[in-house]
Amino acid sequence: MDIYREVFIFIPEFLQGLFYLGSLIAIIIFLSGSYFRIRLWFRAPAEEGLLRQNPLRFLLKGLLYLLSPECLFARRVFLRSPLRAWMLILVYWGFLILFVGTVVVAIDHYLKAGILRGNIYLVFSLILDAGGLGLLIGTAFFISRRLFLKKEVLSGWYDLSVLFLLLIIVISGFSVEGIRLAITHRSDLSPVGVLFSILFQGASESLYLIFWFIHVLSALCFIAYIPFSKQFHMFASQITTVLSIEREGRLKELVHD
Amino acid sequence: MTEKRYSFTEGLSRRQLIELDACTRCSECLKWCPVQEVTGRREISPPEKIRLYREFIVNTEGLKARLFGGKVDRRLLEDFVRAVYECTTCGACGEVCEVGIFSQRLWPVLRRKMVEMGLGPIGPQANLPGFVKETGNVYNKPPQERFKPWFPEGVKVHEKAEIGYYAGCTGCYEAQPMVRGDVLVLHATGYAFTMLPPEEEVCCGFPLFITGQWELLEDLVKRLVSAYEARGVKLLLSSCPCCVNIMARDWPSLYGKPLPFKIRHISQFVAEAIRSGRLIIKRSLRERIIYHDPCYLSRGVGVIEEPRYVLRSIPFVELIEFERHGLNSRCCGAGGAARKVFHENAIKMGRLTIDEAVEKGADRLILSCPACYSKMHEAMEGYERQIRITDIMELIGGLL
Repeated sequence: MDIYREVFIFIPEFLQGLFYLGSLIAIIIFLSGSYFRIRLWFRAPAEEGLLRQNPLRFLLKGLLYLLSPECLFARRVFLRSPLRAWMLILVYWGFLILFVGTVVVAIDHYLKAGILRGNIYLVFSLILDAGGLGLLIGTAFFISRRLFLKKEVLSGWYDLSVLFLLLIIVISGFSVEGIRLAITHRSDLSPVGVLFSILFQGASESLYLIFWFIHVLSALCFIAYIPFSKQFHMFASQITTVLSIEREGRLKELVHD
Repeated sequence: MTEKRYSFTEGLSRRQLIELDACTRCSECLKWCPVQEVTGRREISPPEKIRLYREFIVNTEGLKARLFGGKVDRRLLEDFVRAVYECTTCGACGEVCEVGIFSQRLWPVLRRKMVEMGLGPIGPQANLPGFVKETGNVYNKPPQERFKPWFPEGVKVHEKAEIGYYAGCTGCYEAQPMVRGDVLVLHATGYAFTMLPPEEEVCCGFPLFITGQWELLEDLVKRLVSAYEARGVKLLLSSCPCCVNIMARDWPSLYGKPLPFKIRHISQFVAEAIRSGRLIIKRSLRERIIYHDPCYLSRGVGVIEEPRYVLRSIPFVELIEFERHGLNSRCCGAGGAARKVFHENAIKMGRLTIDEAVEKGADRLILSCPACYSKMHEAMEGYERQIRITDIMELIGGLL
């Protein structure tokens, strides 16, 4: 049997339409919220070379920083807590893998490229499964840290809301996959998905729809909420991390030149 | 609730606005913040200050505020003012910050905002600009007493020289053995040096900068830079880390162009003099000494190795380290002009340093900052644990 990625399996057309509408709204909210937040930055005077560049170049460079070793491997966090750094890497990489994976699925689907078939699909599915697992472990770690280490870690609704949303996205995502595998009696190369399919043996298509709806809704809410939450740090902190490296360099020059 | 709308973003730089968005509240800084160490009050912690300030921005400049008008809770503002002024601005939080927030610079800027809004500074800090206008120093002491009580006899100060020495208000009025040591050591190097007359050596601007009262800064800096330039100074030395910090970081922008001279901490100059054989420490010291890194010297301008080099040059001395040293040193409590307002916090912080020095079996605690010098002596008054406190140049001056 030819194994391939089935997009919108069991999803009625009107729900597919609703998904596109919701995605459009979430992206508009995300972009406009981010625009207002970043516009605020650019109203202020810039003191450093990097920050003096025009917004477009600055943002392009900022996106490149997202892929810098400093950000990809959380060097500064490693200096403080290796455990937390590993967990951050799981979240960061998990998020990145799932994001890129979703984009690849979309391209494959809309261009009818047919790339995600056979062995390529199996490897793809394994990588996404690993990304999801990483995100799940990392998110659970950060939630428990905020819940159970209250003396050492600041925690409030402000801190926990996004983490819980992320947890819902991951768990509902695995559930959707598990139910799909249970209904279609398939065992793709996705160990966590297969594990979830055991939990959902005998599940119906309506249950699939419920979990799919939760997954989509939470994911779209997450996207829309980012610019209004402290989670915007995922962009801002990359820039400050890079600026701090520049600053460390300048510290040497202040009275040592 | 107040209806008054402030701009909480005006006056902040682009980097600082991004920094406010960058805090992940990972809470690493809580472990290192000296104010947290002695108060345990999370509501005044660095991430909470950032969260509050962000809330002010959102409440006044966010979409909702633009559509329906912004409001800021006056009580929250007052809490913030207290939190931002209770901080010693030591920068330990920024040093360990995993996203690299430059807090040693962020807090003074937020204090300046509070001053602009009429909410800061607090307590006696408000007197500082008046004192500086009146007497040229923040202690409101007569300028003619600036050098007289401590200046060593037989040391010649040249009218003009390439090396200038700035003693600083705190050294002159609160840590005199320290500035006396500076002058003795400078003299021993054999280099000609110059100083401004006492009425011309006014405040460097740091206490005003750190309390957010920036109006007089430009004038002070222009006066000082012109005066040193007129004396032919090419290298300006000071033993006060706060002075060195503002001179190196902010004097160029306040002066409006690059300074006509270089800035160095005296320990750098003395380390070089020892290295080149120009200064020889003849007498030995059979003691176990422990060196405390001043926040504005280590985290501020990155001078960490030079004081240690100077101390290791003393024959037979054993130099030991605090657990937290170098870039991660613990504030002695004197920083951020908080010592005069939050006296108890400052004393507790100073005693933490004394405790560790005693527990490590040090015979002597070596300092390199007049504010640390003054505060540590104060912290030791009436305390069961005692240790001899000496400034680095005071020590070297006595061993030549």
